[in-house]
Amino acid sequence: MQNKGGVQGFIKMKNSQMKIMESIFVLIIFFFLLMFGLIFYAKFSQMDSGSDLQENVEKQAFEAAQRLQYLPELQRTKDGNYVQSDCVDLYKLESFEKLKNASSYRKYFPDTLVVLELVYPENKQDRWTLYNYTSNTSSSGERHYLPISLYNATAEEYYFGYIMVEARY
Amino acid sequence: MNSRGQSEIVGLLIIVVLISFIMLFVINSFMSDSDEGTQKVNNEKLASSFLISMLDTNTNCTKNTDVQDLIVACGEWHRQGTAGIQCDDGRNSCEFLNETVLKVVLDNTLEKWNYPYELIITEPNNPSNKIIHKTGNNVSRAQSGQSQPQPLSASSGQMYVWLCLGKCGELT
Repeated sequence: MQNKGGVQGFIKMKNSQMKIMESIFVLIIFFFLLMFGLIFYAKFSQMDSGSDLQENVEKQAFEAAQRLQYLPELQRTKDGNYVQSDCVDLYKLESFEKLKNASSYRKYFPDTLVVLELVYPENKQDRWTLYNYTSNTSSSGERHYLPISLYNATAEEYYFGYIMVEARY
Repeated sequence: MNSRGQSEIVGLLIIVVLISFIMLFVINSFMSDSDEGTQKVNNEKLASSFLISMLDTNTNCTKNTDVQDLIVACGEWHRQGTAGIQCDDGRNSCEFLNETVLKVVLDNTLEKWNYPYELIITEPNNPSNKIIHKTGNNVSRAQSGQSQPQPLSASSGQMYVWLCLGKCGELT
């Protein structure tokens, strides 16, 4: 009788051990899945914040290009009051180049490089650095291009070029 | 038995909450693709500025000949066989446009910037006939893009210049 009780106790103990083991396994799998999820989430949000930063810098480059396009210091005007869209006056451009990095433009073009390149015709001066200011040591950035006409009032000719705006990280 | 039932319900709840979080996270990451809209606007603006600026450009073909004149003359030559503009170097308007202007302009801009593009110029009064068709930067594998038709008036009818940044299936 005592022996029977011992066997029953042994079986009962084995059953409890099995249940504890089962619970432990369930917990291990649960925490493993949780950890896997957290790592996945952390990696993904890290990637997301990287692309957010890139998106912001791209937006900054686009906005700077838009500002430049409507800058009276560069725009070509016909008869003194009609503004020609997507057109830069060559003589205004040459004067603007001399103002390079003027502090009054810093709030409009923070950490920005602005270059105007002439594409056609090929035999003319082909590059003007209009603005180059950076507050930190960063060198890489996002670029935005804006095709423009360049008007030479002396020859009364239009040339084709583009403004490259590089906003830095 | 009652306690076991309760713990199973709690377990089920935890699983439901976890799955909800995962679903929320996945939906959020798919929904945050607003980038495409900005890109579309940028491409539209770029294509329109590109065409406007290019058409106004003076060329070395003859004095006072701009790109628009060359395109119209080339269209007339295709439509009616008229000589059109004869350039100072002996080439006709189509040859000068193709071999000099478009080559220099496209190679130094869209090609250099790695923008997939498709430039199409149609015959006057016959939009289905392309007199010039240039593509670059693997346009066939690019995302669908924006097409900007620019109408030009030729003596034999309206002709169009299309610049599409990306793949524009409806043009091909």
